[in-house]
Amino acid sequence: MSSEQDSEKTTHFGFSEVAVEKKAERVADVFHSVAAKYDIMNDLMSGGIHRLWKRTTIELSGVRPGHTVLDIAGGTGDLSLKFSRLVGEQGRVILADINDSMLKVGRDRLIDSGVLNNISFAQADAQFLPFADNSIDCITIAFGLRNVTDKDMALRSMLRVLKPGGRLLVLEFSKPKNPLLAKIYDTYSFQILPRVGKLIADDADSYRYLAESIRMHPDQQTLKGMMSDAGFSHCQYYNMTGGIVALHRGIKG
Amino acid sequence: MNDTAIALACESIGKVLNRALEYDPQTPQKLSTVAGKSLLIESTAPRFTVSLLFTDSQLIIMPSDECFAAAMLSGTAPALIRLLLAGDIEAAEKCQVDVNDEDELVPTLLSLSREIDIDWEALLAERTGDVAAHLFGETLRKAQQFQQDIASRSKNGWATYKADNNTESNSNNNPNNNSDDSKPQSPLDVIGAQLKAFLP
Repeated sequence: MSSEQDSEKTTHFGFSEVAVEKKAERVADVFHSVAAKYDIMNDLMSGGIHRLWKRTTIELSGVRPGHTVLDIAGGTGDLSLKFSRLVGEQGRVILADINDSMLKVGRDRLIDSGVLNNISFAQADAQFLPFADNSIDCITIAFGLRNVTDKDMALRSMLRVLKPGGRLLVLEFSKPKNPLLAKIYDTYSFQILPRVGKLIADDADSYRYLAESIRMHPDQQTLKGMMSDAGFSHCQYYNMTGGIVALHRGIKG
Repeated sequence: MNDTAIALACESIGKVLNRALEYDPQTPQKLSTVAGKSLLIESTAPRFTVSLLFTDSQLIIMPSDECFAAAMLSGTAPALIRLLLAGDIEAAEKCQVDVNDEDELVPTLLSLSREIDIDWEALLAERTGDVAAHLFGETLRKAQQFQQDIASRSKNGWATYKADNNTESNSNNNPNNNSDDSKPQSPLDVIGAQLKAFLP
């Protein structure tokens, strides 16, 4: 009976509903498909502003030499590369991603950049982080939380591995504050983005999913509440580019 | 001001403070006494609120939207700075700072701030190299010593000057000489005292 109920549980995959156990698989397909062109698409879609969003994330991470940083859904290693320089030889950066295609791109990129000494790679699910309790100084998850099947479980898992006083930073697409900007953003996301995806990555569906998954992601206040409910203290969010992207920060008390 | 900009400014201040605290060997012990606690600071003019969070290894400064906390200071920015400089919770009323402190955190923090002993020469050496930092430090120490010497000799000179003056006054038997002897009467007195101390 119980297993029957479990199998009936659904979650959103973009605007469509899929069985819970199918979501990770479907998300994985999307990222297998876009991995090779992920970086160039990021630059094209955001006009390069994603670099500024990531720079702000790094500035607000408080990461210092000797720290251990976990970059969940680290994908192609944008953040890990910068963290690796910040933590120095005494520190450690773990680039984690559930998707092996993304992880391979990230690993190759970091090795090509000469980053080898203080970085390790882990194929890991954010909901079941394979790290010891109280072992990480800072966790970042950039544009990854919306793809996680059970966000609450992932937040609790992150809280568990953080050291007391450690920080979680969630960089994610959110809800624009200005209605006019929201309208322009909608048009851009649903009309232009899939076409650019088709043109560059030959994959309109994946970029349609990207736009849909952003709309289904909790807004700023809801995510802040979810972080507080998971046990994080001093939760705050900072809107960037009019709220198109928000950076949430919480501290393990 | 934009929240993100305030957060970035707080983070920069926190970064500088944490960096400096790394050069006080007692920092881990000091922070461990307040680890896990937080202090809310509300500036009424200019209006902003920040939280200071203490962990066993660092201080985190972040903007806050809270209005109340177990440990809280509220006042204008200059008043808060005056309290910090005074380094004593007793001065809060005089500095016009409202204090709510259920955990007795503020006196502990003020006491810790008085005891901070940052090896700034080592900090400087990281940027400029050991030799330059040592020379700069030595020059600064000598300047401080010279300043202290001046003050001390001026004080001694003033005392001698007064003693000599009193002797002269007494010998003149002036009954109207009832001025305050505890401080110089004019700048000329000070100069006279200093000359007396320096000249053989």
